[in-house]
Amino acid sequence: MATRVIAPERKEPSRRRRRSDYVLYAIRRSVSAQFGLVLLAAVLLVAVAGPAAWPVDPAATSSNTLAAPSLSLPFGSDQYGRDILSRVLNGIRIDIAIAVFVAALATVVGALFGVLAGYMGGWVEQAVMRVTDVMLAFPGFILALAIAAFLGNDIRNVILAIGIAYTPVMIRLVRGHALSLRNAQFILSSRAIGAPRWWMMLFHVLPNTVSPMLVQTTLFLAWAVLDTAGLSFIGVGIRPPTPELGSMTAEGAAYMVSGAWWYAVLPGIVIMLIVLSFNLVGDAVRDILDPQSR
Amino acid sequence: MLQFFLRRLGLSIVSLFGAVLATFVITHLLPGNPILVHAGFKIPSTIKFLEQQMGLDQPLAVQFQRYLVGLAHGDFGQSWYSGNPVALDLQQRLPASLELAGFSTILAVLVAIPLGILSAVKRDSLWDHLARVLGVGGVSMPVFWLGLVLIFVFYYTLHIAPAPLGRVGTFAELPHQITGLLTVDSLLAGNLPTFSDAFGHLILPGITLALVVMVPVMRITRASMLEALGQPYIRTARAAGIPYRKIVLVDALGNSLVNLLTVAGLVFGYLIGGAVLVEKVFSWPGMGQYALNSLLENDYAAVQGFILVVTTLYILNNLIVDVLYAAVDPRIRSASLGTS
Amino acid sequence: MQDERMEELIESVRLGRLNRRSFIELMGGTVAGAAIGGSALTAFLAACNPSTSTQTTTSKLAIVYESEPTTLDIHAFGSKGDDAVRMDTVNQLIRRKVAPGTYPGTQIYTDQFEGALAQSFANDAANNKVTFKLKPGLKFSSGNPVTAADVKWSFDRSMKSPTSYVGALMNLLTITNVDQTVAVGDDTVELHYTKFNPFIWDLLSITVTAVLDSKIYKANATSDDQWATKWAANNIAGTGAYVVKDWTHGVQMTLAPNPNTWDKGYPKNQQIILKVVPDPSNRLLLLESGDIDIARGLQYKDLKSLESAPSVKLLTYPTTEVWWMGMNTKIKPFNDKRVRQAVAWAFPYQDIIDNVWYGFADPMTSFIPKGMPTQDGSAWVYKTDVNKAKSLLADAGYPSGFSTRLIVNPANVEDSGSAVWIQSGLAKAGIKVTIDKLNEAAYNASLFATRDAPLFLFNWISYVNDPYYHAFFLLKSDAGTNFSNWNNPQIDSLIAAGMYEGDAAKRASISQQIQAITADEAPWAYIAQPKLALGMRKNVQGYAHFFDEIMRFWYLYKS
Repeated sequence: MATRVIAPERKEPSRRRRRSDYVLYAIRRSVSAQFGLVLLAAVLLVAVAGPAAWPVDPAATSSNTLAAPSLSLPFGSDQYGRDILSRVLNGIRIDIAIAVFVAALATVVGALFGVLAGYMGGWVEQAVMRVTDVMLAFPGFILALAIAAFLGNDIRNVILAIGIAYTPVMIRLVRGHALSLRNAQFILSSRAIGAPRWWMMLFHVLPNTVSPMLVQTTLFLAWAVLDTAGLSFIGVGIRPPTPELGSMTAEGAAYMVSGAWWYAVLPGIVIMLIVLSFNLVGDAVRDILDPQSR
Repeated sequence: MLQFFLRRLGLSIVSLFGAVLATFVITHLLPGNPILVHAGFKIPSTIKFLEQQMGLDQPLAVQFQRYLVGLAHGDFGQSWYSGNPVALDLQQRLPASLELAGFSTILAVLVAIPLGILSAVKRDSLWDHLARVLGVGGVSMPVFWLGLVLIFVFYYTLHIAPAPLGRVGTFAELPHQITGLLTVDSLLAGNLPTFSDAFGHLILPGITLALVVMVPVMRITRASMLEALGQPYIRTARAAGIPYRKIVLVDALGNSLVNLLTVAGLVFGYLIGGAVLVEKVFSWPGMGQYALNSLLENDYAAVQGFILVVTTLYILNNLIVDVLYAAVDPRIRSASLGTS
Repeated sequence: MQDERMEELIESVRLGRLNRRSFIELMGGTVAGAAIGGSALTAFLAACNPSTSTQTTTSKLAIVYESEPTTLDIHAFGSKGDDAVRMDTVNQLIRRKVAPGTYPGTQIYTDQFEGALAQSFANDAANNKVTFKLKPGLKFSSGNPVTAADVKWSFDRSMKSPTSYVGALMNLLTITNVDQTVAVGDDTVELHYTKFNPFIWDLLSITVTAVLDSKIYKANATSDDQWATKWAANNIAGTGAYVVKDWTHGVQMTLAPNPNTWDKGYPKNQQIILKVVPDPSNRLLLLESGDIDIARGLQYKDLKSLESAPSVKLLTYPTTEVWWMGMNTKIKPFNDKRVRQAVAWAFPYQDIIDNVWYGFADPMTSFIPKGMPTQDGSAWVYKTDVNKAKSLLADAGYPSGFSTRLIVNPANVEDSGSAVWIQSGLAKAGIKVTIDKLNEAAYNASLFATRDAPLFLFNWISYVNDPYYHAFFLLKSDAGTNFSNWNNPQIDSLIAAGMYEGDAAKRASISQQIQAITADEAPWAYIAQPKLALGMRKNVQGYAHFFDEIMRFWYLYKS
């Protein structure tokens, strides 16, 4: 009589669950990832709930100008008597919104042109890559500055300016990956059975470049906050009384010499925390998707 | 190999031309008549006269053609803001940027390489984490904010740094210009007071830029070192009894050197045009400030001159990097030949 | 953006092969690194000594102005920096006398005139001309003798040069043709007029009527540039106390004494260095450290601290500057007088004086500044009163207010500050103001050329201290500088009537009428008359203050 080995029932985990298990594992391993996630959650929470929790009008002027931080004015007041904490809380929303839109714009447009160039090859690729090369030859910040100066000072124009400046980076990245995928087995098979090229690009090539794209997008988010602040620092960009962290730092710079340190330092710290959270989470994403880079 | 190089060179020139053309179009489309920049009010007949004098009344294509012809003769056009030929302005501004960029690059490399090595060798240890925190922190700070904080602490509060007002004190005796770099020139002239004055003014903006730029150098060092240390021959060397330190410093680092040099070169290239914000905070009369002011003053020729110089540097830089890598790895050569 | 190439490089590091060439001992490299680090540290410590900030010598003065020189052509509009350089390198036929000033060791202008290049001057009413006789033996800085022909050439240039705006000024003197300027012999000049203008002496003492070295200018003229406009932008040749020794745009200009000066005893210093410092807070730093002897264009927020500084003194003077917010009367709803008056009632006057000028400004009650003859602020009844503003708006058909746009040049610190206060002040009356920041060129284009801004900020100072000169440029219907596009025929005829009026009482009453109408029609909301603030090292003496705020460097010296 054949013996039947009784093994305990083992439930095979589905593919999706395995990946999320890995994600959690990677997060548990890395202190910086945990810190980054917590920080990001805090930043987002403040962005969403902050202004409601501190219901002071960020544009309300008063005669209590350049007051040092106190209980009633935790971040002090600026030269117009406005509550800096309130301006910072509202400013976080604006900066994050700009960053998200910029990253979205650069990612979507960049990915589309990148996959077009990488997959189609020929003159399409040449045309796209030449334009990309020209754009990348400009110092990025100067390019954004020129576009913003051209379009006028408006939040929408700042998003466009920075987004356009970042797009060639994504184009280069996606094109590189599309290039290497062009001759992959599964692509060739699909072509052989007659799949149209646009189908191939959208549903086969692009999904396989999502990993590096995602990493770059997180970088875009971080850069966008810094560049928005930088543009506002120069004076190109947001019009008053819109609170924007970079312009607050810029205005505060003039008052630092006379001792009103809170005006420039505190918004700057907030910028740093936001960018830090984006960077840490971005690093964690990169570590998960591409452990080789550790 | 030669074919590769020529191809890249040709494409670079096309990119350069494209950049110049794009700049020309963009600057001329910027809102505001440059004639109205200075000194306020002008009656219409004056405006017409000045437009004629500056050649602004010609159609864009003619103006561009004139500009190209001028370029062929080495004439970069006239800056309306300064009244100088743009070539002269650039000649005065470029050394300032080179000095700052060079100093920051050296500083960044001096700090980043040891940190990167430590990070790789003592992987996942306290050093590694410290380095990575410093790295991420450096990249997350707005560079202009960092400059302001440093000024506040070291100049305003502690009084050990000089006032953030340019490259040198108001009445410093400027050395005879050989390289244009004040520190080098004053050393060559034996003028120590001016040297220490110029060096002192370099320190704060240099540290500000270095802190930000340090990160990629550190990461490349770490990555290259890790990859090198993982190679079988390292293990063999260890087994043979060669001291670890020698292995690390000579073999692993040696193999990473090409990458390090290229990164340093790229960092330097980026810093020339990309230090605008730091130049603004420290009143440093460099290329970034020049571009910014020219852009905001609708000074077309100056902006174009700036783009020309910086783009040429970028393209040269990229060309060298690409050629270096192709020389090292034939696979890249053949792969790239079919693409850009 | 900071490391896009770095990311690429990391990629290529992974894709590519690492070089297996071995390199020379990096021990050597680390030693070299330590050497560099060591010397860097020593140099840092050496540079740490704050007393390396060099002091100026007793005969050299470093001055920072609120704007840098841009064009030296005396007949073209210029910046404040231009005014100073021009005034100090050329002379006019006459000039104002000075008297001891309010601060010890300073002087101040008077309303009496004395000859500068002219030995004598007089009005020959019977023959409708003014006559000037030049001092004997005068030379230009080049060594060329000063002759009546030079005077005539200079006045002709002021009317004929394509970049000159001075023709309009000469027209005010009823001099419309170059033939009205006559050189008689080598040393006498006659200006023939049709109507005598009482402010002719004033006009002939300002820079635009200076005497230029015609030989030099003619030598630099070309066939399509007969008046040497191109050369004149960067060069100047006259009889002034100084000559331009060198000029690096955006950095500094050096003025050295004119070897052929006629004004014996002046200049009282050996060199003037005009430094360009774009950032106002940097100007303060330079002044306090002693790198700069005189600083103008300081931020008003810093002035209070200067009052108690140990080595620096603060001088403030009331000015005849007028700062206003203009309402474009051709753009709805500012074509309606009630709306304009409503804005004047809602305007936050005190907030701006307190928080933008930190108290260093006087209220402005008329378009004619205090300090100019015939000023009368009685007609300006407006004070910040939101309710009055709201009721006027309701009358005009805007019970819930309206939206509009204010353009600002962000390079002007005070305007930028005022804009925010104006925005919040007018919002209380329901007027929603969007602030549009335009760079210099775009701002000027919008203001001068397209005139498409509903609200704008502007300031002005008249170099001829006369109400009709002032009104001519600011209020006359077709005046190029009437940015509000305000056309009022009554004002025009009043200006014409008062311009040549010789009787002082009649002059005053016509002026008062003009001021009353302007206040009632309110095309402007008057902001303030800022004080001029100068920071000076304590050892700087001799400063002579003029209402035109142009610094005459030749009086300055250090004790």
